[in-house]
Amino acid sequence: MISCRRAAELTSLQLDADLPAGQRLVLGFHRIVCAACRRFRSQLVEIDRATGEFLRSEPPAEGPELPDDARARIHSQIDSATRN
Amino acid sequence: MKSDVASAEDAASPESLEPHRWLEDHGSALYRFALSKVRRADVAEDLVQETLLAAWRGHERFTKRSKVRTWLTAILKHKIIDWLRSSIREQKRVTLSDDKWLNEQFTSLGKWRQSPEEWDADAPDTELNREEFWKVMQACLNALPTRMRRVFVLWQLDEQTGEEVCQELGISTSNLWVILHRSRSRLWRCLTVNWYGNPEPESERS
Repeated sequence: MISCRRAAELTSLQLDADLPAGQRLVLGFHRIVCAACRRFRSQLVEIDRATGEFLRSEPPAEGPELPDDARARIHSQIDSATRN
Repeated sequence: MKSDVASAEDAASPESLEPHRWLEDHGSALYRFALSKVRRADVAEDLVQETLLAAWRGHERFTKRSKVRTWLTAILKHKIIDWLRSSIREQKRVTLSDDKWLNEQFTSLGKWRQSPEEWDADAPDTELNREEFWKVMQACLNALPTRMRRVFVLWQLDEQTGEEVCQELGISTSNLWVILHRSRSRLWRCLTVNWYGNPEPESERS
């Protein structure tokens, strides 16, 4: 039987790619007998979903502001770009 | 009456196609979006500038049905992907070393040292809750080693297959899977401890 360590690797891999049938089988068997790895899988799926949502969603209303000097610089860059 | 007045964000009136105004209305939001992914203020500033200039050059392609901010964010996302790709490529290629942190999660026999436990907290379901959650998420992402974070963020943003991403980065797919597993495992532990509520036991001092 594969170790929990290996099961965790395959669990992560399964989020990114299709596993070959053999790996799917040993992972499936491991999960039947290992509650910890079943839990790990459902939590990892949630982590992956949440991080994806965080990275793709529009920025929060609060947080660091664009610094004034950068703002001024970009305004003048826009000026020179739009004039031509 | 109020509903008849489309907000500046919603309608593509001539003035909403004005780069100076985009900068004023959306500059900071775009900056935050970029900063959370590239973690460098100078780079984030440059990406905002490039985005506004690219948007101005391509404003015919702006469809009036989408919000200006959504449109600008989509352009910025591609700029971020490009930057992440080249920054990962430029870093000296090192062979993947052993991951000490990951090793410590398991015994020498490969069993969990600290078994995953039921989470106490749910995913955020209110606006306020969400903002708090995003802060924790950002802190956990920031805690990843730089290269690992860049690869993970790129993988999440970029809608390409593993093979395509690897080709662009000049790494093997097996390396990519290893890096993603290491990133995810760290995020899992960090979010479990700091959000989902499953504190680490008293550290076992040897």
